[in-house]
Amino acid sequence: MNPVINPDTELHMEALLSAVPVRNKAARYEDKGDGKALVHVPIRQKWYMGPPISWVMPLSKERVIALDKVGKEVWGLCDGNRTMEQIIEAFAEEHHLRFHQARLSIMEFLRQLTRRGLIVVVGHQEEEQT
Amino acid sequence: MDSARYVRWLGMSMWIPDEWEIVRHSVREERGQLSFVDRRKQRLQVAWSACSRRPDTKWVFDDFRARDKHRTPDCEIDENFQFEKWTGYHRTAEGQTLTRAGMYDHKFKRWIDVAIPWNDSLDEDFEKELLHNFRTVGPDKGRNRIDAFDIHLDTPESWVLSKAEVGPAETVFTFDSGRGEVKVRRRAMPEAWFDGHLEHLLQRSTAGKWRGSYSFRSSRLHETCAFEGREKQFSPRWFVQRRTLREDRAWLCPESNAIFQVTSQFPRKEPLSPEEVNVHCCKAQEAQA
Repeated sequence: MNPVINPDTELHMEALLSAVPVRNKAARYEDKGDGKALVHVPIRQKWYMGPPISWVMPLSKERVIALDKVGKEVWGLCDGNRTMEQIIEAFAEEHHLRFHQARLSIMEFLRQLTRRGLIVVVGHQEEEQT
Repeated sequence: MDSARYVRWLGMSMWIPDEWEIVRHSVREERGQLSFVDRRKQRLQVAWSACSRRPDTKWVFDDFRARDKHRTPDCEIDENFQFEKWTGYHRTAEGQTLTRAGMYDHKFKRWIDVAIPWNDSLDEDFEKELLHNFRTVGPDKGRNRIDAFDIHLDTPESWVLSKAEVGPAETVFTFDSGRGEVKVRRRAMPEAWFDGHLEHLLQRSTAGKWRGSYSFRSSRLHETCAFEGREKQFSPRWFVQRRTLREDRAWLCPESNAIFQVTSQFPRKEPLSPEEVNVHCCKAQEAQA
């Protein structure tokens, strides 16, 4: 018969849609012009990767992430003012998608950006507490 | 309902508000469920299970009530709810009402129950509209119809939906026709990834494993690219004359802003054309069909 409706999931969605993605202030955006862009994010290096190891193994001090046309668009929407819901709405309207279709795409993309340190998602409750 | 959308899935049809979406689905006719959400909450859950005879509804709802009481001991349960073929009750807990109702589907011999959690207070008119529009529907002129996930299609009655994969901007339905397998794929946001050449799209999807020819068919409403080919790699099936063939049709529908691709794979002696499935990508195409 019917499984239990889980109120936790509902609260989770509510919090997620009202959260605001904020760009990493240290990230540097570089528009390549051909529908692509690069975002440079500084990497905090381990203490043992400093001199003298870095003299023999010069490692990059930043990570570079390439964005395609759609990635650029979403990056542009993450201006620190728009909530997740507003970003999804704008994206859905632009690409003639339903809200839920756009939500799946945006959430997946923002999850990748978060994992790579390009953005953080600020939740409403956390904001109130701080 | 101000703006409603028609959903038809495994012999059930319903009208739902346009902003509701399916988030959980089953492809088995014997037992399964469909869950609908709006932006924030679950709004409707339909569950079904095969049942050769009409079950004792009193026993079924006693069981539901007992489970509800166990879960939320303080809940209030309204015993009286009967509407058309539906029987059920309303449960109120912590200021939120939930409707549970069930009916027996004589056509497909299954028990169907619905759970409708209400946002604030119970909207009886809307509840009646929702339940009134819920129908059990059989094949129409020997064809089964599916209207869900923005794909509208009909297939021969004997075909079985074996898989439905719904991903970001992409939906794939897989049918088992008895002779082979047919996949219907809908890909949204073509402006983001499509280079304007359907042939390239088919070349990418057939690369490596298939060898064949591409052609264009402009007789249809939307210009369609077709692929007809056979397995490229040497396999033991060659010896027993069971080599698999493949046919594809792909087209861009500007109205729905999506690319549709129908693929059939079948043994050499039992041809299966992608044209056996009618995909109604837009109103104009449906009218033509």
